[in-house]
Amino acid sequence: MKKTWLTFAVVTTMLVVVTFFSIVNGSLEIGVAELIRGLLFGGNEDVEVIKDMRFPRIIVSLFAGANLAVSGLLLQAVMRNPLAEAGIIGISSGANFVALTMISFFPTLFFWMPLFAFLGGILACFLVYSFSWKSGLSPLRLILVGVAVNAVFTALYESFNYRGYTTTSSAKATASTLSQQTWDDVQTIVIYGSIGLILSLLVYSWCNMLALQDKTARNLGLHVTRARVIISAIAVYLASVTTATVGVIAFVGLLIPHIGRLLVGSDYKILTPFSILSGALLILTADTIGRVFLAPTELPASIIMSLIGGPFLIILIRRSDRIYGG
Amino acid sequence: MEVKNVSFSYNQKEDQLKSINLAVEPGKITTIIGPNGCGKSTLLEVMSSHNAPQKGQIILDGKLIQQYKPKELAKKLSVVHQKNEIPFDINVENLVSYGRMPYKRFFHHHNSEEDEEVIDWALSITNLQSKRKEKVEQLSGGERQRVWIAMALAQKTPILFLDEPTTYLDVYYQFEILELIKKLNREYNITIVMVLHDMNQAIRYSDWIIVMKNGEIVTEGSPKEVITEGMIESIYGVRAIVNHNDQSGFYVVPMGVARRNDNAT
Repeated sequence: MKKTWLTFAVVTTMLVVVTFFSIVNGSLEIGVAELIRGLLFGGNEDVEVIKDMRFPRIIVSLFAGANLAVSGLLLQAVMRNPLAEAGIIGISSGANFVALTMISFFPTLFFWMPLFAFLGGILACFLVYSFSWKSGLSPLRLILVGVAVNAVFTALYESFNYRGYTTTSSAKATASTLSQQTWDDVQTIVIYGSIGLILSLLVYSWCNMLALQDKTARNLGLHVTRARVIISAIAVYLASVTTATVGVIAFVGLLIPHIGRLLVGSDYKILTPFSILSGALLILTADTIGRVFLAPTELPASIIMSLIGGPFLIILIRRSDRIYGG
Repeated sequence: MEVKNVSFSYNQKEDQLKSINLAVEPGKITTIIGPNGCGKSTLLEVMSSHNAPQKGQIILDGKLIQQYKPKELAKKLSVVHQKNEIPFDINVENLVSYGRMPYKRFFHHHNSEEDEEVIDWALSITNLQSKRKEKVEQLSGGERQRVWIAMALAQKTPILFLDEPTTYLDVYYQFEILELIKKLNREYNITIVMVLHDMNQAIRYSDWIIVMKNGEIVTEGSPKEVITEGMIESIYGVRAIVNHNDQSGFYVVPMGVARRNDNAT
């Protein structure tokens, strides 16, 4: 328990530090005192630029990270699979494809983009479930089906893009960079994201019971199918809302829950808030590294994520015996 | 609890259970035996509402089992499965406290005083008080089985099902578990329905034995009536001597294969 509190304290502190670091650093540098004065009294042009350009980007990064981390965590709970993650099993690419296709055909419906993304995510999730379900979920079959669904949606999206129906919005999503975020994006991801995150915090006891075994969970009075559908829906929702705002970012949903299990254990009551905090921290850090240290050029957070994610996944697999019993 | 004319199939082609009729007598230990693949575990699954029968009815306290809400049923009937998955870092106390889930509303997750008392009770009956902070994964097989029994006990149900509770255990733990089951039945009046493989254990610990083969109940009755040399040969294809002596009571000594058992799967 002591270790858990310490971990939370460290993550929260780092989150605050990185957020401040991210605000004051970049192509435009500013002192903390100057920043606070500018924010309070106005009249500082640099601070205005930071407010318009950097703040949205930071807030979107934080929520994108939290959403994707929790989405992965919940998918792993319902699919009983340590590899389940929105980016890997096709939910993000499904959301991306459907949202951008709809927007290309009906640009006036731009406001509904998160909804279309959600429908796309649900479609992908449904496909993965129905093709991999055979009187139970086999972890291997699920991942293989998920990878296939992901490949198809990615290909669909790319071929679509290739034929030149590109809009400005889809260009943004392909690069899946966190730059060019506006306060409108902030509004979308904060409102939709918060709803999803709050819901995710409410279902922890279901997630805990699903970790036992379907039969055992049912014996304990859990409505297993209903719980699974609701938790999946929350996970897909979080991933879709995020994809609609920032495009596809892989690996957060995989890395964070696994780090969480190593650091704070398998209880979802603790694991979910941990994932929210550290997911936010991870994406913000990745984006800040890409933005600050490589200035004047920028590297998208998704690329930095993959650079960190690849090696980490390998380490994880080497260590996974302890947690997943081989 | 009554099972009326129940048929069940996993694949719609072949029935794993064929017109099963039985009544579970309250306050007794009922044991189901039979060769591998005869449908014992399937019967337990259907009786605990994991699988809905294609035909027939299962009635618990005057109500069809499908009509129970999951939580309601979880207060009437608990099940200890043969195989269980354990979160890698959960401790004994926390796992046993899951048994209180049927008594909790959605937003009330902390244990009430009553919950704590029941958890304590379940831990002391299963002799796990001293292990309550230990990780379940690090316990021995026998201790782990007791943890699952304790979790089922925390549900405070009048009926307890156990699917092969002694499989995978060495002989000491087997008897420890069986003695525990007997105590639960005799002292706390919990109705027990279990699946066992060992005929001598079934004789020793059951009030009533149900013999299954190929998805059907072949015979049932008290151990003495049911366990006969003829039954063992026809059901298992094994020659056996059924004997009695004053020290051990009634016992079975399997002697060897009588004929090839073509029906075994």
